[in-house]
Amino acid sequence: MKEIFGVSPVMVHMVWRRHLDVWLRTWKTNLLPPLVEPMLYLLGFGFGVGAYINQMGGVSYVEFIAPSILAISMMFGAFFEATYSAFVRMYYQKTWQAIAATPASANDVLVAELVWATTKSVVNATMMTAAITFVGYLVNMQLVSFSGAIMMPIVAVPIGMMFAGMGLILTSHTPSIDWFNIPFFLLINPMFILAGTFFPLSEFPVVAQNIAYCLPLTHAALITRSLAYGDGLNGMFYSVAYILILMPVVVFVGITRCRKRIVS
Amino acid sequence: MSESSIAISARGLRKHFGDLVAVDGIDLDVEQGICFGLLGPNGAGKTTMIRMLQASSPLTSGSLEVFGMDVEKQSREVRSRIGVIPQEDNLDPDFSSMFNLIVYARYFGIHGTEAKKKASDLLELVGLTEKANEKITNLSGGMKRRLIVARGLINNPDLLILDEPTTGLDPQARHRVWDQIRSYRRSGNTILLTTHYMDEAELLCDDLAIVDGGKILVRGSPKDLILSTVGKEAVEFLASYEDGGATLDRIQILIEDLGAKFSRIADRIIAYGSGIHDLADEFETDISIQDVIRRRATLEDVFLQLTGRQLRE
Ligand SMILES: Nc1ncnc2c1ncn2[C@@H]1O[C@H](COP(=O)(O)OP(=O)(O)OP(=O)(O)O)[C@@H](O)[C@H]1O
Ligand SMILES: [Mg+2]
Repeated sequence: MKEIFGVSPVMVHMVWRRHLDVWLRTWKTNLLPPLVEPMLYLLGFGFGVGAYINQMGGVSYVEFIAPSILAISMMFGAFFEATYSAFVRMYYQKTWQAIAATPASANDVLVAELVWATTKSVVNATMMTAAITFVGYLVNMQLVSFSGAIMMPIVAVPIGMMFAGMGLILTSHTPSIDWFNIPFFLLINPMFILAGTFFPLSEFPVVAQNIAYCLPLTHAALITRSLAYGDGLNGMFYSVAYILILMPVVVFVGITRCRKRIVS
Repeated sequence: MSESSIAISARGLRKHFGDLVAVDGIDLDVEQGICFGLLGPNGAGKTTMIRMLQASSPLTSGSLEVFGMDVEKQSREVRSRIGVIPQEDNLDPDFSSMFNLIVYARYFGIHGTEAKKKASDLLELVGLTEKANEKITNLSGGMKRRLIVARGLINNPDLLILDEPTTGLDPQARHRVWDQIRSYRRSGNTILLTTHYMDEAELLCDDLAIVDGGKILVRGSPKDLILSTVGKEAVEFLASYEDGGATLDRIQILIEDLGAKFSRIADRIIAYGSGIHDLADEFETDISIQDVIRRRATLEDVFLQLTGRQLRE
């Protein structure tokens, strides 16, 4: 069997298909919820709060938060899958253990988790781009540039993979499913506000700006903003580098640590 | 015996979990084409050994081979030739019975119509054809167990490993699984079985090992082990609820004087050998003894003799 670093692409594909099959079985109930919350943010904040704000970061408020919402939905797509869902598969359903008794290995299973979580990120990015474009069309605004719309699902791959790796690290540590509330409160929710998503970073005090530049969501949002405004990846060197460096690190740590939970 | 006729071969096999020694230096050869039983009390290390066979648990030291292949170096190849029926239920709750088997087949490179055919054949084999499209959550515990057995057969394994396959099955279903194990063995495959039911082991196993504390205590065919450990006959002294304990103490002293083997568990003493017949007669009418049962010695007696915790502590 062909292997890359001990991982079999064929087996990863088979495990990925299992996750896809589960998802397809219930896609009607699975498709909408990840769309609803970001749409509420867009409509509520963008148009609601936006009515009281003339401009934010040089554009209307709804134009400002549309790309942020894309970054957030990419993050959640991967992060939920690699934390809560992965934990259910590992701990309650013992899916990982069942598969690891076949020619698929523990590493194949974990890589498949990451690829699947990344897939969810890409799906979210695609659907949110379409939904936001549609909302923009209704109010006669171009909220996502054409080139940006094409690029969103593509950048969702490294962005999703990075958040998936981070999720897997948490999954390797968590003693129970409720424990995930802690990182969600301490990491994800603050990142929501601090990552230049709802307010431009330039409005923050310098200290807060420096903190913000350490956060993964900040860089994801900088990239989606640049793409949405039709600027491609121009000037995005540091953000792209941040993601491309952090991604392999968290993926490696996530796999190594999670492995210990099934192979012991 | 040539090398190639060995299915499982362990040398100095050890597994430590921190300070805990789960497998404590096991040497074992299991011939091909037999049903081998791995018996032992809870925590003896049976499941750990099975996990080592499928490379889900790295060896602390020693070596372990399946069909001459190293379980760690050639783990994929080993796993493609074995089928594992795990102790725990790990079916996919989101899928139907049928689809569970089809999805599992993919990991062994079985796809499409071949997978469908294989899956429906196996469902029939375990008597779940009617539940083919039922979701796992709607199956009873015993049906799930039978489905896991079917799943373990999906790749026609040369070595079938069953970790307590019949726990929770009703008598009919248990006979059905026994039947499958026997017919699978008859077609030339090797079976590794763990069970806490000694009647099951006695019936199915050609050869077995009783392990405790990660060590093999004895090894042999059920018949030989019974004869060499406890002999042909056994007598049970079953105490009545009140003041039975004191009488059992007295019986124990008398048995010890006779130099006969015995096991004491909860409300009874089981004594072995032909020397205890007089003792049996003597206590038959004692009111603090509810019953005196003379019977053939079984594998359960061997198990109690070798692993009886009350006696050891
Ligand atoms: N992953 C693990 N980490 C730490 N200790 C473990 C682990 N797995 C098993 N053990 C310990 O190893 C010992 C052997 O366990 P094992 O599951 O192999 O027993 P068993 O013979 O299968 O018992 P049972 O009949 O109850 O299934 C036990 O003391 C158990 O607590
Ligand atoms: Mg066990």
